[in-house]
Amino acid sequence: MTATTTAPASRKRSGGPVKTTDRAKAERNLGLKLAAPAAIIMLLVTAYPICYAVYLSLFRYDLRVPEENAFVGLDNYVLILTSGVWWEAVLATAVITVISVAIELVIGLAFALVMHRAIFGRRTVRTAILIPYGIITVIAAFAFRFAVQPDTGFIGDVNPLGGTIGSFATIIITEVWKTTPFMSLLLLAGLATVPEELQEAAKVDGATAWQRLWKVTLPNMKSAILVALLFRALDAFRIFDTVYVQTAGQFKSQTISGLGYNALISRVNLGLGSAISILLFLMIIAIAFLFVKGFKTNLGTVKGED
Amino acid sequence: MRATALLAAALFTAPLAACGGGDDTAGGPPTVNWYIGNEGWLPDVIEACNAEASGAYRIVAESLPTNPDQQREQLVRRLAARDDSIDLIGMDVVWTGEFAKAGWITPFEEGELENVGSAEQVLKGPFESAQFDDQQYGAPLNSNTRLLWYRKSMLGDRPVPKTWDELLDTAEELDVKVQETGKRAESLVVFFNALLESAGGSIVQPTEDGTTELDLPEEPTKKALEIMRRYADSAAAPAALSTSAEDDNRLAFESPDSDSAFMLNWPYVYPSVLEADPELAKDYGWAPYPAVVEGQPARPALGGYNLGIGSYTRDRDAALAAVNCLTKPEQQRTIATTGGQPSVLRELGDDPELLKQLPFLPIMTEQLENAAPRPVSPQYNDISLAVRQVLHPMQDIDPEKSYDDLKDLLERALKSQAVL
Repeated sequence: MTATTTAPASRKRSGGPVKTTDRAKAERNLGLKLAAPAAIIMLLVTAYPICYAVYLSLFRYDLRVPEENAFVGLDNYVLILTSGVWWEAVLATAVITVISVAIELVIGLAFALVMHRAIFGRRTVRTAILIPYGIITVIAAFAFRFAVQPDTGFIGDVNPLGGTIGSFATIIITEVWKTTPFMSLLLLAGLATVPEELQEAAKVDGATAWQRLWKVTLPNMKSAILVALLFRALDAFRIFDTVYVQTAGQFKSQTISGLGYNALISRVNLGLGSAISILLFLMIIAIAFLFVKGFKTNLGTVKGED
Repeated sequence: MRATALLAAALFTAPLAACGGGDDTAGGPPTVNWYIGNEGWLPDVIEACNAEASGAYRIVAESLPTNPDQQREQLVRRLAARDDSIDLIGMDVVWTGEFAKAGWITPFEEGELENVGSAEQVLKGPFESAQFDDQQYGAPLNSNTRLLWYRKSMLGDRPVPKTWDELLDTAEELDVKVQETGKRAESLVVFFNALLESAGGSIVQPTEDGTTELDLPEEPTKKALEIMRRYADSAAAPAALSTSAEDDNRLAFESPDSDSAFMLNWPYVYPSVLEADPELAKDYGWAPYPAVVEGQPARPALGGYNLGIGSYTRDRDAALAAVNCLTKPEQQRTIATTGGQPSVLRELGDDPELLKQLPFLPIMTEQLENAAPRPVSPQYNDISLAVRQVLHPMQDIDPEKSYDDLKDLLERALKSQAVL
């Protein structure tokens, strides 16, 4: 039990080059044709708005002073990146994302193990764990706000939303409560791919439950964990509703999406707002890129040890 | 199959038809769609005017959300998209400059307004709030300023505080709370603007070319910031200060076992307590908003509605006729008695019937003459967001540093270059 136990040999097949027959080529062509309409529509409804936002972000474009609109190049980006409010929002978003995703991973894994190992009432257990994910975020946010407010709440005569730490804690707890089920669902899928024989072999070798978790289960579901982290991190980084409902950005809890909302919806300053959205978009791409890179090297190491 | 298609078509077009609101082709009187927050007095005044119009037009209220920020957001979205179903807008006084500059409302020509078109008819504060670029863009409908409310039994035989310093001293000695708004919302700007104007400063000044430039004189601004900080640190500040808005203050003050002896709030709190607990209402006292500089009357912020006619309306004449009916003394009287929102008309200032229902009216009328409009600026919303950004939470205000921050952020905001 010195080295990490690896996935069975069956995985190897997917990696090697496969000779394509004519029939396979024809099928692939048909597949492309069938998928084309959907892909074109996707491009129209996502690529066009993104390109338009990039275009708008290069203008001073404020609907309230229409006669002052003008091309300003990258000025909007400079304004944003030199503003203290922006960096405060980046910090708030990062803090909320990192802490809530970390907690979700731990609790989500515990839930996934419970769902995986539950012997009786498996369906009930799974339903119970998944319920919070079925609740609309705004409603969950209101529920927690009312729960902690002194006038409607039940936690006593304190006012968590009246301070920085309490505000962040409330937002993070709401996020964790709401999205841990999603995390555990993704992890459960990963758990299901860990072959039972490995567990049995480890058991025969005298490994404790803890050792089996750390040395057998987790290494084998690494890619599932990374996918779950990626999905949740991208989601959490765009957080808007919980903050909007619970603190409206009070106590330094304004997030990047909140700034974008203020600029675009409340101030109809389309130039500045588009630039904020584009910056958020780039940050999301950067996060996704980092994760995907991590994801690939991991698959590589698994294969290399084969 | 056909039935399903028909049903689908009906489901799809029904909401569209509902959006179209002001469709006149159906016959009958032209509809005047009035976008306004949901006020208790709305049905009464609309019914009165529709009856008086006897078929010349028909006003239909399009209810907006309760929260003023959300009201504005919905209006701005519709107006920016040139929604022609908006005939009449109930504008919070502070939106007037923004909507006028953007070309979303049309100015009133000389003589078009029968009841509220001149400074002789309307109190000074409300009248100024409706002007932009030397033209009248709004028809003042009602007005409002905050008063100092106190509980007579808690104050005892002490004098009613006349300045902010006296107010905080008295409250600290009596070990009671002062209810003011501290939430990061428009109400915080109302508080700050009142202190700043009372100290002799203002946030912006109009320039000759019809725009605005930053004013924010150092002495008065720092004085205002010092008072906010002193209040936030004081034992007189309620625990929930940094999260309370006007209605939280009202509820805290209105509760029978309240430890709050003072509250700065709009006059709607009086009709509210009369309805909730008439006995308690007898314990309510009222006084002018406390001054900042001794002997210099306070200039509390002005609230209330201005009526504006949407630029994309399909029937401006009908909308104008509706404005002239809604601003009549009868309607203003209804609004004052059922909503506690004082009239803007000079002639109603000493109306005996109103005085009976709203005994604080004389103080109010005097204050409305002095009241400071919040900046009439196309960038008002950015100004407001900038003030909230720097001054919340109040206990973190450092007069020196906050002054510099405020100045810096407001300068950017006025050029619509601030990230907020």
